[in-house]
Amino acid sequence: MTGAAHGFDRRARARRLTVLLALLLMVMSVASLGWGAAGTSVWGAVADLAAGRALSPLDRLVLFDIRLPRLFLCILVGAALAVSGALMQGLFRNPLADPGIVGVSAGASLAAITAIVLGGLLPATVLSFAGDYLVAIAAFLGGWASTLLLYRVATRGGQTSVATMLLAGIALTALAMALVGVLTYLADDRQLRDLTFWQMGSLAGATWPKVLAAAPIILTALAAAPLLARGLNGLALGEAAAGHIGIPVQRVKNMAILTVAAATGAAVAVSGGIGFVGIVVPHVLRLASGPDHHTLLPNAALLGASLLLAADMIARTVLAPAELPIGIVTAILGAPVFLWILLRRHGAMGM
Amino acid sequence: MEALNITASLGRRQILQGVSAIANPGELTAIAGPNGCGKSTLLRCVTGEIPYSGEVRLNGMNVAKQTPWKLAALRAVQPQTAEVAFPFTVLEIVRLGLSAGLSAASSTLPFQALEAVDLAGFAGRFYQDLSGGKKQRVQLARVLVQVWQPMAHGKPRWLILDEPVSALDIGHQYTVMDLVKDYARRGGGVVAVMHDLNLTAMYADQVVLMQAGRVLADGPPQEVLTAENLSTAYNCRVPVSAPAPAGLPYLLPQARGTAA
Amino acid sequence: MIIATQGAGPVATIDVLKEAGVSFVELPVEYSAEGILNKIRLTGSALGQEAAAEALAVKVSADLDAAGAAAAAAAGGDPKRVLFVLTAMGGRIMAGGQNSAADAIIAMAGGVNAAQGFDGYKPMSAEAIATAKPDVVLMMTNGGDTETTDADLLAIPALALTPAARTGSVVRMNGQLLLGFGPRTAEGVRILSDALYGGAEG
Repeated sequence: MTGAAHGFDRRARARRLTVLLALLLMVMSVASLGWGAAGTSVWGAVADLAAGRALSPLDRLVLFDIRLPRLFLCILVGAALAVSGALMQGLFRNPLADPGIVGVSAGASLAAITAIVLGGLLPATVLSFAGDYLVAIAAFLGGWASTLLLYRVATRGGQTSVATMLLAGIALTALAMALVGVLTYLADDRQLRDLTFWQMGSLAGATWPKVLAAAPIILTALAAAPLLARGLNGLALGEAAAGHIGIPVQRVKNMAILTVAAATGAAVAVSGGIGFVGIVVPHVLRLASGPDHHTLLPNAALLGASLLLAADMIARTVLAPAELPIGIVTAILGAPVFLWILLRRHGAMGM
Repeated sequence: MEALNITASLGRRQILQGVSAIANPGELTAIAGPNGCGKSTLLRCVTGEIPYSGEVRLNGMNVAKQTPWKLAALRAVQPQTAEVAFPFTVLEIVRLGLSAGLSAASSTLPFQALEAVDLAGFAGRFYQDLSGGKKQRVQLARVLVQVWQPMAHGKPRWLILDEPVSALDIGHQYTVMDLVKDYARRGGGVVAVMHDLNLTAMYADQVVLMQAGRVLADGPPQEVLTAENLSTAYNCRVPVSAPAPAGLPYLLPQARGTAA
Repeated sequence: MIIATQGAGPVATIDVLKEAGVSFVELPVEYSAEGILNKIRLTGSALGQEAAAEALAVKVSADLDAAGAAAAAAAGGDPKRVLFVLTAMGGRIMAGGQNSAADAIIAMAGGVNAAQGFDGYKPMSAEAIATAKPDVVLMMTNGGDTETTDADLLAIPALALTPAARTGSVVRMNGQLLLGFGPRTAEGVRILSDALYGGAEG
């Protein structure tokens, strides 16, 4: 007598979903590679390569130096944001926790902007050591500090208050934005225009060095996430009960915070603030195949990547040849979902 | 399992003042006492949920020095209130009791446990949609799955239950008490905080009666659940009768107005 | 008296100033020679200096005509494609499209705006830039030390294959001269034309 025989074991469904989502990501990737202002065709390029013909320099540039790094960056950032959201929701035991909403992204942005504007003041040795990674490291530290602060503020005696969490997130975001405001006075004209990019989020300007800077951090975080699955499932019972079923609760919490900070920080460092991916993706997946983090986390990575690829294709095309910041696209897609969750949970939120 | 000279405070208030108690494997030990006497606090010290001074020993080991996963293999704890975040199904909740290593052989265990708590057929239901009593039984099933065999490697395993029947109707109270009593009979240890003194009298092998953060009396129910002890503990007259055949004491609150 | 350009704000502040009885003159924004002359005449009449303004307008008009004609001659029948880049940090290029000061000055200097298909200053997609094939990249000098170097700029994938990158053609000009559309615009046109076509006809 197994669960599958009863037809209500959602593990099998979730695993089938993993396969489907992997296929979806492949389709989206090919579509994204073939989609753009230049008339370069993937199939034409593949046919050329297969026939041993050299690609035209423009096709080569468009495919390998513009679309491919952007594709990878998009997948990395989408996966990082969605998994961060799922981890944070597991940690806070609440489906509304999201790095963008509770101020973690704002903290990471603040640190990154500080690095852009004031980075030149650092000692030369630090600068040469940090090099191109300075902004990414700053974003990671900013994300980490704000996640820790948030957890301290919103959690008392193992219970996380949703209201406190959201309010603390608003306060944290407001504080970060105020400090960004101070920095804009110090920034020159050019830095100023650049900060706008940060706040709206964009995957434009993706290059291989950026992919290579973000990939180690994000891939490490993604690899660490499944190790937390059992711990997060246990935490759903409450911290005490999680401990009683053998979960090292404090270690799970620390690791989750570190992973969220790393993934969010790296994502923010290369793409600015892209909101709502972390809230929409896990929510949809929980509806489809349940809240078990063993399958939720990998599925979130896959769906997050696909969703961001779709959003990026929209961002690249609606105003072509100009581009819409992708953060605007995800906000338009995601904000209604956020409201919908709030409405459905009305009265049951412990506010 | 032994609790030695446990002292604990919540905030500035000292709740437990040097409590010592022993629970033996193969027995059901009930912790009873009036509201606020510290019985739940004692349980939370024993399970390591709150800081305490003194020592808790389980199968001879100091509990404070054990890792969570080692303890989890030895004892399972049923919480008093059990709200669960996210829409897990009953089956998924019960499966949380399975340790990571067990897989194929244990796939039927959750169903056996659900059947044992009279929830066969509820595996696919959403936990959040269940009534309080059913939630309580789901939690018990989860706890049972965690330490399914009462003995492991020749050593007893333990069920620690915080008011396991508080939300149950009388039929399910018997179901659950029979279940845990059987667990003790098969060699495991059961420690339960109990509110219902009649059920305590019927099922407990040992009773620890507490009052104001101290142990007032402990021993078999016949010795502990006396009119004198209970009247002191609960600060009101509690007449107790013991009819000859079974020798078990039972409470007769209706006699309050008449007997002296 | 306050002289402002059209669209100065915030609106509430402007409203308060107007209600307070401060005489408030708004100069329309129009990126053309006509627009410049219009601004000069409006400013003159606001200050009661119509004659002086008219004299300046005539001079500026002649200057602009001359600069425009010289630029057109320099370009000959082969105008260069010019991409105006407002910012390029982080590899994200914000370019000047139609109905922008950049678009207008490029045309006056005998060039063709390489950024087609959108209005104002917007982030432009990398592929669109690569296929727009600009001959020259035009930027403002900021005087700051955070400026992107020519080498860094032309190494951005979007620009790497363009004729501008092949010939290393990056032109940097004072922002007010380039985009200000005032009496000095003729000078801006001349400088830009010289930068684009080598100033042979000078």
